[in-house]
Amino acid sequence: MRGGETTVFEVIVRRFEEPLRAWLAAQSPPAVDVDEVAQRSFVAAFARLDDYELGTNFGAWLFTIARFQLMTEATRLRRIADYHARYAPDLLQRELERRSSEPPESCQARLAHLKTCLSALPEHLRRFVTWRYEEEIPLAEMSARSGRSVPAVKKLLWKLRRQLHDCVERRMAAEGAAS
Amino acid sequence: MRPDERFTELWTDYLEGELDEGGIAELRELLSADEALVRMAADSYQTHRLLSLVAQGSSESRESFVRETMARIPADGSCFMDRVMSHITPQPGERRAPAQRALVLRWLPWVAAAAVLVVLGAILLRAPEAEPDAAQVTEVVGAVRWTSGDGEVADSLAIGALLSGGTLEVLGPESWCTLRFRDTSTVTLSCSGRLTISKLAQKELHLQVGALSAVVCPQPADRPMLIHTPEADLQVLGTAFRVEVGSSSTALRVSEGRVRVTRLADGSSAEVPSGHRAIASLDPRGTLQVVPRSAPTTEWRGRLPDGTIHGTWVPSAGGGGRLLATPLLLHRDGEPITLRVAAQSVSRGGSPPVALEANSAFRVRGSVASAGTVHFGFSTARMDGQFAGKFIIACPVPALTDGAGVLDLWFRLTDFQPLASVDGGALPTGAPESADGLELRDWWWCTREGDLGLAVSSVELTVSDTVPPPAPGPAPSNLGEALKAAGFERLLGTWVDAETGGEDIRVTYGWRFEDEVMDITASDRTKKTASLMGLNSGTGEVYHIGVDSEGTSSLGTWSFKEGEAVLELGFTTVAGEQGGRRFRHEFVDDDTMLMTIDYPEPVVLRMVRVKGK
Repeated sequence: MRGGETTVFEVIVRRFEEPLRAWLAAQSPPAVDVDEVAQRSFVAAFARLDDYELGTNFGAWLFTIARFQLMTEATRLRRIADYHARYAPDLLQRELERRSSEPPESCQARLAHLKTCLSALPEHLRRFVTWRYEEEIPLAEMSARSGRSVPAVKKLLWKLRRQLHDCVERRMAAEGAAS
Repeated sequence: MRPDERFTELWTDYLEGELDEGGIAELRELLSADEALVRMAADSYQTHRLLSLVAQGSSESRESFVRETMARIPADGSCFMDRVMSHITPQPGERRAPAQRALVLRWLPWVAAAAVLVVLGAILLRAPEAEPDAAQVTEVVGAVRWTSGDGEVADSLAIGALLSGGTLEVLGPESWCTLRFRDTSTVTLSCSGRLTISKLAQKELHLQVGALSAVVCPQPADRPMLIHTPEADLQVLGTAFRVEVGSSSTALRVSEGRVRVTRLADGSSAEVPSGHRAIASLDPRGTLQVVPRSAPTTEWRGRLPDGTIHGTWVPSAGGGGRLLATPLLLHRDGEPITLRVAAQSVSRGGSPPVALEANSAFRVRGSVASAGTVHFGFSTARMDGQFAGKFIIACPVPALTDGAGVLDLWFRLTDFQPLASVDGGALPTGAPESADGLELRDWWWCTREGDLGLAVSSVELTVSDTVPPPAPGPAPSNLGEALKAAGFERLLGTWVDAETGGEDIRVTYGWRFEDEVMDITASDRTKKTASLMGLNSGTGEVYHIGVDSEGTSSLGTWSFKEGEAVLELGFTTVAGEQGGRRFRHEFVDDDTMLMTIDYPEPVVLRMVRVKGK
């Protein structure tokens, strides 16, 4: 049963890494290392390949493993004494847990729509997203580069996230209506 | 400060990791008082995390993730990935239109991976001996046409479509199509190619014209891949190569493995090993010769009309001549479009490969009869011969012509943009963003807006350090010249949105002072706007200044590139709020223009000219 699986499994990792990372990114509470949980999920899936029932939905099986890996990590974090004080408003965590019941594929659709929405942003706005998420420069540096105050940069980032979220929602709704 | 403003501030600090314990407590209090804020926070948080993922989404980052994951998995010696992959292609019923590609990709991993494991056992028990070896479309750019064996013609192909028993054409110089067979062998058809795919279990292709690059997995000894051209038969057992069919010869270049080639003119045959090339012609005096591939050169000058792909050669009385662009009818989005194209292959014949470098520059000489925008582009291959992509630049002609209408243009390699995938505009994964380090395979020169009388007398590639710097065209001395040079003097007149006949938007462009300052008046359902457009002769910048009936003022600039006029505006409302907006204008024809307003969700308005006013 295990002959050749490593090679085949790499194909599976390549096919699933983006949807799995997207799902984990959207569901993980603050301070969770998404890539670490994703890698652990793949390793666990590989170790349990014998348990996988041929003919059933492999994606669903993998995401079930990932869900347990995420729960384990979230539990570990909760047990750290000052986690809530420092990182996670519990209401946010509860809302994220509620959303984790959404089908995993919708997270990948969100990711795809987000890329489209992002590319449609005018360059003078998109550069703030690039600075923040690709270059990861401090707000003060963004302020210096753009000539805006730090509060104005913060406000703009807030607006951009909202705009992008609204754009993604519209696209999800349109896709839902079309299908 | 209102609670929602305070929430915005706290939440942004939270995401930036700048919130102290007091702030966390305050945030928690606000969240517990308003459920809507919790949802808003979760929305913002998810967008924030997904943006981080998008930022890591480069192919290098994803490759690194896969490598790290595989490093944590115990190694295993055997390998049958090719056979497994051969079973994860979508079935005919799963074809989707291009617009639905995202949906297909979203489901593909589940379908594919389930198939991978489900078929593991089946593969070991039974090989699909008699099934036709259909090819799946994995990439398609530009105009293509598929004619099935029963004569049905399709003017577009979706990613994932399965092709078997028919003819694929890539139409025009800006198109290409990549197919993958079940065993993951891939072929890319370009260079206005025409390829017939057999319906047999064995891979059998007929390349009538154009260029085909292929990476072929090891084939069964009794069923090699066969490629037939008008001049040669190729027998492939597993290798990487490129074959190009010209007017009376087939050029083969092998970069890996071996290909057996038979010259049809005399039946002679030879094996072409890696790093070698062969040419089979119909010339009765010629022979089939296999020679090592020459070292690449960085300078090249085309000997027209040799290697002509498109165009009509008109010899001059004193020697030389001109390659006249000829019409080529294509269909894009179901609409017919006529290009005028002149194109030449660089890689046919026995000349050495031409390597592009960061400081390479093209010099193009020719003539035009009237003003407009022309596009110059070229195709590339990786140095191993595999198709790499196409690059293009748009050029407004009048500003760069001398008094006799003679063109002498320079384009630096860094000025070119890669031609993106047709659905979504994104570059295919792994496609190079720059042509630096690639091999030049062909060039083309075309217009999309009618017959400008375009002709090319010579194209050469050189290294810019060794030639005089590109001679810039004369700068426009007024707005009228600038607009003409860009092909946007056609803006003059009144335009209304086609959908409501002007109720949604109506814009009039007229001269305030001829050729110097343009008046732009616009109205929509809520307000009217008056603006001026002019040229700053010092900087060459086309500026825009306006105000609307609600007191919002705007200041911006126009730029003209690749057939598009882009207005970037910054505005300030009477309340002091500031913002920006971009408007893009592109002519469909003289009386139709697409105006795109770049909101996060772009709005595209089809504007039509109001006639007789």
